[in-house]
Amino acid sequence: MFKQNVFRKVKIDVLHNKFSIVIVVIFAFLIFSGSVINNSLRNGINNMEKRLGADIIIVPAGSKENAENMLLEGQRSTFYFDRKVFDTISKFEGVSEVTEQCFLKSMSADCCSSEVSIVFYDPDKDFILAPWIGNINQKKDTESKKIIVGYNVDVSKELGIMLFGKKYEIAGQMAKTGTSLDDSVYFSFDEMKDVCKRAEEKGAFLTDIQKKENIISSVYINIKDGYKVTDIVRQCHNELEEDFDTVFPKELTKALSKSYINILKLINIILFTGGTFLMLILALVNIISMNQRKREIALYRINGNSVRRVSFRILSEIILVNIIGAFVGCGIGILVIIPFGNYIGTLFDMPYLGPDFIGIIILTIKAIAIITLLGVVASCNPIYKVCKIEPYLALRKEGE
Amino acid sequence: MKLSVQNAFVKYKNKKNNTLEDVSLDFSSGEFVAVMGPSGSGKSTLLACMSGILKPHHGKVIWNDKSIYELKDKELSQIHGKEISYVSQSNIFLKEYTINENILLPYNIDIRNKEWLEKAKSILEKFRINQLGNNYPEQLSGGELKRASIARAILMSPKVIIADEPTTGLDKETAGIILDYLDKLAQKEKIVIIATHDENVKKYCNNVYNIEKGKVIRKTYHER
Ligand SMILES: Nc1ncnc2c1ncn2[C@@H]1O[C@H](COP(=O)(O)OP(=O)(O)OP(=O)(O)O)[C@@H](O)[C@H]1O
Ligand SMILES: [Mg+2]
Repeated sequence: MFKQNVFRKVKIDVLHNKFSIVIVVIFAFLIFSGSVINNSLRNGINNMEKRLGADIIIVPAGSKENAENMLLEGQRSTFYFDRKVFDTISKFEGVSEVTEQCFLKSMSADCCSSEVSIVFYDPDKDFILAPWIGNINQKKDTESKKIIVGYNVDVSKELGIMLFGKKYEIAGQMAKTGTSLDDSVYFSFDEMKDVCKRAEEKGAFLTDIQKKENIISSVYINIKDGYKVTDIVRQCHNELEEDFDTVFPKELTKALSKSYINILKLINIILFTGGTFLMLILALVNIISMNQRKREIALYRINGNSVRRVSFRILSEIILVNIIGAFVGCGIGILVIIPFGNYIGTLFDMPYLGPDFIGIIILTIKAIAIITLLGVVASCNPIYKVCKIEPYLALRKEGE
Repeated sequence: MKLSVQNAFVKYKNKKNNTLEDVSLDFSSGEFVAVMGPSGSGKSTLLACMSGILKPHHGKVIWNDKSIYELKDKELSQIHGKEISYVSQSNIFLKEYTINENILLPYNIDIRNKEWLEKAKSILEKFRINQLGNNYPEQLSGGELKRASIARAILMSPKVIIADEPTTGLDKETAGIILDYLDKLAQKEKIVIIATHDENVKKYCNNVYNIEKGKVIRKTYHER
């Protein structure tokens, strides 16, 4: 009985405000998607900054663009040079930290439904992966070899993982990046020979270069205080035997931050103009609907409701309708924006890290709060004005 | 109990002349009053004025020593419906709600409130429309709506019932039901004031005021 009544009241309230609810839905959708996109881009950049934990990255000549793409979008590509490069750089003056990685290839593995990227890293010297390892398994086990896995690699069932017929222990799992880095598996360089052999046995095709043992893809360098990037680059030019390219992650983020700010401006402009426009329409719709309802309001008044009470009654109805509308708007936003997050990222050419479940809930609540507040602002005046009309004048029909 | 209008003037914005001009009237318990006069003479305006829903530009309406238009909105609202009830010329109903709900909701009474629902039903019964309580307004005839409208006005047993043309457009029998009921209320020491064109109403009334162009031109006393 009670539920039925509430449902009926809501239905009638929505019916009373069927025009404004449409506007509220659109408005909520705009605000929600705007904040989701903004949020995701910001998280994407923050996340990227975290994983660009090096001052300089040295990559083989001609792979600069690929390396940058890997940093920005997590797209893996293969490029190699000799390990000597790393050894040489290690001896440079002004280098505080240096570590190397090698990306072998992406392939299907027994552990996972999608392909995983096989990467080798140096656990002792690493400073690239460490900052964004989400959870670390402290358990010491000397038997099985330790690996680090990306966010998407499913390790929930057991702490170990089967890869190419061998069991590995998970030393840590990366935080979510929203990119294909989430599908990576990081082995120690010690494992390189073994992994390659096993992968080949499982039918993976390796090129001649990939079969070599002493290859690496990139060298990450952090510079000592008091030294400049140019100091390192100069030494590279003088001493490296192979041709190379340099990538400066921090400049990448700078450029990204700039375009993020521009996108943010765009979002704000759309929200502001769209919002103002919708607010105006909402106010107008409210004026019209309040005028249509002035007889109803007068009826409440002649039966003992004060102006205040009637105003609150109508206002609470409008708040309810706004919340419902905002909910629907956010719902549409969730259906439309969330699944296409990665597409939006590529559209803007920006790293994009969509909100998680709790993030979505927070953004939804925020959007609902904003919409409800704006809805109240847009309706307060029309409500009060109509509630204040002398009941007799409001009650009269034409020709009485 | 006394209701009086003192030197009331009403002028509508777009009108040159006063619609009510210096009207003074007194009513006391047990009185059944008819206000008569040609169309446009100001009957509805006068009734609204007395009901506390249209403030005169000049003059006062006194209810039990209180000048009602000088009361705060909240205080005045406590008089509406509970002490002085007004039934408008047209039937005002919320089309999404049933007749029962239309009677209770404007007083902020929930339809699940058994006590009040019973009360509403018993009044509808006296008006012989109790079977229509769960119908929607659009399913009722004009006369039925008028009765429901009066039923709503007397739900709280107000001391003054002011009804604008409660019998206009109704057949004799229906009009009779309504007038008989209002008569009973007057006998219970209520004040009943109606505006009407209906000469047959006179026989119910103690006093008949005739107004023309916003002025009371005659008061006739009737033996009931
Ligand atoms: N809201 C209003 N604005 C302007 N003029 C009004 C308004 N209400 C009433 N009037 C005018 O005031 C005059 C009196 O109107 P009122 O409704 O009181 O007459 P009445 O005696 O009740 O008429 P009827 O018998 O037709 O119901 C009319 O000339 C009418 O046009
Ligand atoms: Mg009238």
